[in-house]
Amino acid sequence: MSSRERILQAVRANRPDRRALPDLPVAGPLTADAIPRFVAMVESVGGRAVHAPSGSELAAMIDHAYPDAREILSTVDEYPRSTVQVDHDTPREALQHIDLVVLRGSLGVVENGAVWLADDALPHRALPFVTTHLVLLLRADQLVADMHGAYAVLQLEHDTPGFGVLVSGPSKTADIERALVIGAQGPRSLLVIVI
Amino acid sequence: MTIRDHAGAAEAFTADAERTAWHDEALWFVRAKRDEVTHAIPEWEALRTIASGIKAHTLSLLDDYLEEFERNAVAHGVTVHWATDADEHNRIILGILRERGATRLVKSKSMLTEECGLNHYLEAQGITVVDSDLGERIVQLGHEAPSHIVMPAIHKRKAEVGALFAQHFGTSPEEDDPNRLADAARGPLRRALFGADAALTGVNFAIAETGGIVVCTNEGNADLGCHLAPVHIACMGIEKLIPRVADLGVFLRLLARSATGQPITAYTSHFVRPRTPGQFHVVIVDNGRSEHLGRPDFREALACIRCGACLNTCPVYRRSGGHSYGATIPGPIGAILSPGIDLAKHASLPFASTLCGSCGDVCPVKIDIPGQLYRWRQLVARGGHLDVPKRRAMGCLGRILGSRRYYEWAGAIGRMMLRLAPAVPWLVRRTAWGRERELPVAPRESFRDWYRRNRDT
Repeated sequence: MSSRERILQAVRANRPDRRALPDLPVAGPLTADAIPRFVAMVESVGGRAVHAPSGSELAAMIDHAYPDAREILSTVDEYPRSTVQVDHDTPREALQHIDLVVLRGSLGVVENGAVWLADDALPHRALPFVTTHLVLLLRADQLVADMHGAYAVLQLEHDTPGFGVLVSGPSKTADIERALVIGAQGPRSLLVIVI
Repeated sequence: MTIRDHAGAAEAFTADAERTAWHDEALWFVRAKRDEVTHAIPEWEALRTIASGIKAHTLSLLDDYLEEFERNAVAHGVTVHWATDADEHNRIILGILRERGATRLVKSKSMLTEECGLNHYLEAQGITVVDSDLGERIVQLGHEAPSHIVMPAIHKRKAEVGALFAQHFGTSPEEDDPNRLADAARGPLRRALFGADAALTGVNFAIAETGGIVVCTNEGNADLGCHLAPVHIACMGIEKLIPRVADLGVFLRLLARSATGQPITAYTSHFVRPRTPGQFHVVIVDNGRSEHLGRPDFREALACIRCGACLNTCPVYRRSGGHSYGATIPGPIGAILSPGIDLAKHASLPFASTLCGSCGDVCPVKIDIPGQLYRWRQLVARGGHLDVPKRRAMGCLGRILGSRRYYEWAGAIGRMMLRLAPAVPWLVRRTAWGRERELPVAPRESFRDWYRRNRDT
């Protein structure tokens, strides 16, 4: 008998009587102050967030925030300043020194400041993690109140991307005496721009 | 082995009073943060109940959900492996690595691979293994096991980390600033992540409906590993299943808040298909879990989502350190899981508790941890694993408390001895129970005698 069969048989023999699957909570309502609350939440998890700079202002703001960025990859029209090209086949060595990545998120969660990025937004899955600084653009109408709302909108059960990630703040660690250190192995900073 | 195991090992930890006090306070701080963020969610208790219900339902149909998960994972191009025990798990992983000629493996956090002893196994086969989570890397460099399931190096002080980093990363031996130490590790860890032949991650949740897995980290190390290496291997116990994607909404709201007081981890990664180009393997491991499922009094422990809240709140864990448990999973949850693996070896663990009940109160999936600790104690005693003094004392106490006559008699003797025999307090202080306790001043009479004299007045 294969290990698979052995495991499934043992589970079948030992499983308890059937229990009902509970209904899930409904998504919380998006309140009028959703944007400031989302901005505050991103900041509380170690990121920075700003609301509603327009067109040219936005590009200038990113320029100003990362004056030293040399290797830049942007997928958004509002910031056409890419200095490197990256796709699935780009060798990993070429990703090692990327200073700035600018991507478009497709959903933001007010209760935890997380932004959803999936394969369709990622020329290479490693981009949001390898870069020193990450900037995510999000439309205000893409905010949901909580995680129940997030999965209701994402509908991953019907159409799942090969990979998707909720990003809440920059890379961080508290593994040395519980002291919070921003910028562990991944990005040292995160800026979320709500437009 | 005898019942003194946990207490004996804890003595080594508590010998350093300053460290013990720091450890206690550091974890209590995390518990307090957990309280703060959970109290901000009005529906917290309802979420716990739903999460508990989803896990109970999943366990009741676990074989069906495992098959559904496998079907969907395979349809998405994932290679699924099944391992009945630790040894098979380790061999499967070595096989995947060998097939590709991979010699450098980076790992993100996985308590399952700790349980299986994967690192030692692979290293003996010539594979270089780098734990890429900072805390895991610290304990790996120190040739230790994690002492906490979420904060692996919480038992180490920053000066000790500094000494370790001076040796391995060339920092000054005096360096003890967490920021600079973490920064010193960043370069070597990133180099390992960029240079690996394969990346291994644990699994926080496996979703039957999509065949996908979810991995939660704060450092981004899991993602750096598996999006850069040509092979991603994810290892999961059979109990990680949940039925629906939308169930994640419940569990992700509970997990990080319970673990560290964060609203969610920095990265919550949903892996469904291999990256192009790349391979994606999932190894499903039993290693005693299906047997545990057959124990009605204890199966509920398989609902655990490994948040560590019960460790942070436990007055015994906080003051004895994770290593004192002598098990992969320490703390209250470990104390109810480990006896199911080896009752004789872990017989002392159900006693590493005051039964205060705090672990059960903070558990996000409402596992009745104190109830299980109590029930394991009965099995330890029945299995003959109590040490002699405790067995004698319990037998004696049982007879005294079981009989009114013996009880009155023992009370009278006790009061007399406390008053008249100066050796008694000295003797009691020699016992484990009496070492840290003051004996009371003996009253002249029992409450019963007092009541008899006064009931008519």
